[in-house]
Amino acid sequence: MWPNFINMLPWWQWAILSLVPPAIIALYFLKLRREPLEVPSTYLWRKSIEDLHVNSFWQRLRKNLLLLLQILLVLLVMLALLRPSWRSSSLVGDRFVFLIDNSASMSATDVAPSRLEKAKRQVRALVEQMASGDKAMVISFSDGANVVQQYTENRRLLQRAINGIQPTEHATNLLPALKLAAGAAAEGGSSGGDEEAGASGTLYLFSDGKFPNVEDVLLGNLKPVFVPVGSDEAANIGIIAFNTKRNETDADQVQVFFQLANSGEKDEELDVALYRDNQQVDAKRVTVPAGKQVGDDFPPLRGAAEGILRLQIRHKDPLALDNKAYAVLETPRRGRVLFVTSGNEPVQWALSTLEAQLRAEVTIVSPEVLTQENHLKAAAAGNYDLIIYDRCRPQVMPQSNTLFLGQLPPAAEGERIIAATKAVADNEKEKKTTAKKPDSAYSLWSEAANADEVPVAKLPQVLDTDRNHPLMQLVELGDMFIGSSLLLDLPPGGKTLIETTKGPVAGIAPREGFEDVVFGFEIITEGDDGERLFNTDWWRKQSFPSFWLNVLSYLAGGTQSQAAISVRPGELVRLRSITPVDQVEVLMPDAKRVKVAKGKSNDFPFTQTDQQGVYQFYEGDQVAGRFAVNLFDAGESDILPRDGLENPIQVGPMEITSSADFEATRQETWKFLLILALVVLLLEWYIYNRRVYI
Amino acid sequence: MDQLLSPELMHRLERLELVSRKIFLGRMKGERRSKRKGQSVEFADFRNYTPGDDLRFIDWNLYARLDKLFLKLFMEEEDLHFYVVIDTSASMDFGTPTKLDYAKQLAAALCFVGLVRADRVKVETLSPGKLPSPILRGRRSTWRLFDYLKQIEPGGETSLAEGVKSFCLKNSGKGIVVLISDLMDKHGYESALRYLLAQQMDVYVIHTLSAEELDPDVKGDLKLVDAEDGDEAEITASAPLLKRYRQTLNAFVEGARQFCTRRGMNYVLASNQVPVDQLVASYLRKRGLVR
Repeated sequence: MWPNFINMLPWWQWAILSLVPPAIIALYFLKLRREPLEVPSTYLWRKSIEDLHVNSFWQRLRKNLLLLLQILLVLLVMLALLRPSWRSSSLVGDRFVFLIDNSASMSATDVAPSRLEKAKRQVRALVEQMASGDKAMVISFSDGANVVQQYTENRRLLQRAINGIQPTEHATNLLPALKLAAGAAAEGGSSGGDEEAGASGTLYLFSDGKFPNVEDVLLGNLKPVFVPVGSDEAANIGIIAFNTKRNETDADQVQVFFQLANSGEKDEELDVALYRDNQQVDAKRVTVPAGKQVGDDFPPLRGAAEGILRLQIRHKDPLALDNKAYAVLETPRRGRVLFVTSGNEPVQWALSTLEAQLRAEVTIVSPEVLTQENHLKAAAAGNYDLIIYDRCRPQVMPQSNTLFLGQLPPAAEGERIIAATKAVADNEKEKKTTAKKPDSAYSLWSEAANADEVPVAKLPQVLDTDRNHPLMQLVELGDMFIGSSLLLDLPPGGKTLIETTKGPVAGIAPREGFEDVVFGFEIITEGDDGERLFNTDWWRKQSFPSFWLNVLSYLAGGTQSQAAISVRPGELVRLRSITPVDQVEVLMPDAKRVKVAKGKSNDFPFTQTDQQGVYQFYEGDQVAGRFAVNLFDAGESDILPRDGLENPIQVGPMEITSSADFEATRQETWKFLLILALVVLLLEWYIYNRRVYI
Repeated sequence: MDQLLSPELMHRLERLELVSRKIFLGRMKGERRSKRKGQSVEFADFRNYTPGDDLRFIDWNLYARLDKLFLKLFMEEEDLHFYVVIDTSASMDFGTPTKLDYAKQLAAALCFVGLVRADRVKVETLSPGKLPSPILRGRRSTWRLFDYLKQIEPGGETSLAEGVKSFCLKNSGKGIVVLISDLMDKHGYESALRYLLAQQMDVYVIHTLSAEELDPDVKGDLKLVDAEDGDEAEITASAPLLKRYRQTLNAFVEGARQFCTRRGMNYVLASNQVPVDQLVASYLRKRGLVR
C-alpha cells in the first residue's frame, strides 16, 4: 500500500528545493581535489589499491559516504515536507455524525488496547481530517444513546468529547442512537440555514455490530457508513446464565446452574470455578463446542444459608466482563401472608401444615379490616408478600401478590372512582352487589360492567391444568367437582391455570411486578339461607395441600426469596424495604454508596446498575437485601464483529454495508522522517569529525 | 645528525667483533679449520717436504732428530672483508630520522666494530654516480669512514638490482656483506639478493622501514606521489584501505624474510624508531653478526 501525500509547498519552492541535491553533488566534486602527499614509495599503496579495485563501485560509494549522507538528509527533509501518511481515508461531505458503540462487547481486547479505544482513535483521526467549516457531532450508545457532543466545528471540543467516552457493561441497541442522530442531523441542517447541506451528512457507525436490525427509523439524507471494529478471529467464552435454586425438600441445599456460550470457531475446554464469599467451593471442567451454548450445574451446595456466589470461568479471552457472574443467596425467609376470610377451614388447615408453617407466617383476618386505615397503609406499603382474598376484594390492589377465591380483583381505575364516590365497602364484599358502576370496568378480569354480569358456569368439568406453572406442579385436578364458578377473561399477559369445559376458571396475571391469581370458584360458599356449603370437593383431594404449598412457595416468597433477582447492567431495579422508610442506601460493587428516595409506588427505583456485581441496600444500618447485576447477554458475549458486507445492518428500508478495509487512521510519518534526518545529520557530523569511513 | 656515533656507543662497540658465520662453521668441522696456511706466528701443522717448497719453512730440528724433511705450516692470519651496502635511493630519504641517516648510523657502528678489530671495511652505495669508496683498515680510519658516510646523499633513481650487480662485479671474495635498504623497488628485490647470494658471502639484509610506512597516518582524499619515479596513486584513506595496506605490508615483509631465510641469508627488519645501539648491541648480536 502506498502512502498518500499532502503537498505542503508551492511549485516554485519545490523547484528551489529540488536544486539542493544537484548543488550538493556539484560542491562535492569541486571539493574533491586530492591533496598531494609525497611518500617513499607508492609500491605498497598500489598493491593495496589494486586489491580494492575489484569492488571499486562499492569502494566509490564508500568514498562518497559523506555525499550520500548529505543527499539522504535532503531527500528525507523533502519527503517529510510531502507529509506522507499511511492508510488514510478521506472524509466526504461537511456534516458528520459519529456513532460510537460503548456497549459491553466493545470492551473486548481483541484489538489493542480495546475495541472502544480503537474506535475512539479512528474517530479522532477522522476529526483531525475535518476541513475548517465542517461540523460533526458525537453520539455514544449502548442500550441507550447519549449525545456527548452536539454539532460543532471545534475540533478540540470533539476530541475531548471522544476521549470522554467510557466503556459500559450494557447491551447494545442501535435504535435510540439512530433516532438521536437523525433528529440532530435535521436540526443541524436547519440551524445552518441550508436545508440540503444540513440534512445530507455522513453517519459513521463504529461498532462491532452486535445488535438486532432496527426498523421504523428514517435516516433522511444521512449517508450511513458502518465501520466494524474488532478482529475477525475474536473468540470469546461467556457466562450467559447463572442461577441458584434451593432444593424443594431440603432448604439447606442450593443447586447452582450455569450456561456458557462459545462464540469462537474452536471447541474450548475450560475450568469453571464457583466461589462463595470469595472462597472457592467448587470447580468444574466444561467443554463448550464452537458456536454453541452449554448448560451445566454444580453438585448441590450444603449449608449455604446466605452469601454471595461468584462464578468465574478460567479462560483467557478478549472480553473479561462475561467471565464472571454473581448470584445472591438469601436466608430462607418465611413469607408474610394475610388471609382475608370470613371463615374457610379447608384453606386454613392447608395453610397451617408443618410444611406451610416453614414457608410462611399466615395471619387470618376478617373482611372488615379491608376498610381499616392500618390495613390500607400496610397493604400499600407492601408489608405482605401475599394477600389471599376469600370471597372479598379490596378497594385498591395492594403492593403484594394476591390470590382471589370466588371474586375478581378490582380494576384499578374503577376502584379509584369508587373511592372517590365513597361507595359502601360492604357492597363490594357481596358477590351479588347491585351497585352499578356504569362508567368503569368492573374488573380487568372480565368484560362485565358489574358483578352481576360476570358469566357464571355451573358444574364445569376440568379439562386441563397448566402443569408447567410452578403453582400447578404436583397438583392433579382431573376428577375435581366444582359447583359453580365465575368464568375468567384473562387480562393481557395472563395465563390460564385451570381450563374447564365452560372456560377458564383459574388464571394468573402480572401486575406491576406482582402477580395476581384468581380462582373463579369458591371453596366454601354460603347457601341461600346462610348455611356454609362446599362448592368443590377439591379440599378432600391430595392435590389441595400441595397446591397451597405451591402458593406459599411461589407467591409468598417461601424458600425462594425475592433477593434472587438478577438484573442486567443498566436495568431498573425496584427495591422494597422491609419497614416503611423514606430512603434506602445502596452499596455498589465499587464500595460507593448511593441514597435512593422512595418512588411513586412505595418502592425505591434504582437505576445505577451499570457495574456487574452484587449490590446491597440498607435501611438505616440494616441490610435490607441484595441483588446481583450480570451481563447475561449471548449477543454481547458473541464478540465476533458483524461482517457488514455479507450481513449488512438493516435500518428501515436501508442496508448499511461496511467498507471492508476502512481505516480512518491517518498515520503521519513526517515527524519520524525528520527525526531520521536528524540522525543522519549527526552521523554525518560524526564521520566528518572522526574520518571514520565505515 | 652531527654525530654518527656517540662516544658512549663507540666505547661499547669497541668490545664487539664481527663474526663471519661461514668461517665459524669451518672451525666446527675441524679439517677445514685453515684453508690457507700462511705466514703468521701461529703454528698450524707439519707436512712432508716436496721439492720446490720454500726451504725457509723446513723444521730443521725435526730433521735432526728424524732425518726427514718436514715443512712447518702456519695459520694464515687473514683479515675479514666487511662490506656495507647502503641503498641511497630517494625513498630512503623519509622518516624521522630518515631511513638514510639511520642506515648511515648503522653502517658507522658496524664498520667501527670492523675497524677496531682490524678488518677490511668497505662502504658502498647503490647510486650510479657515486663517490669512490675507500677501503678502510684500522682504527685510525674511523674518521675517514665518518667523513665518507657524511658525504653520502640520497640520490635519484636507483635500481636495487643494478646497484647490487655493479657492487658484486667490483667486489669479489669472501666476507660479510650487509645490505641496508628498504627493498622498495618496483622491479622487486629478488634479483638483487640473488646477485649477493652468488658471491658466496655471508649476507645480511637489514630491511629499514620508517614508522610512516609501518603504520601510515593518512587522512582524507590524497594523491600519493612516489619520491623516486613521481608515480601518483590516488587514494581515499579509509579503514578498509588501511587494513588492506597493512596486509600488503605484512605480506611484503614476510615475503622478504622467507626469501632470505630459505637462501641462508640473514634478514633483519629495522624500524627507524629502534635506536641503532640497541639494534647493534642486542639484535644483531643475537643474529650473530657481532659478538
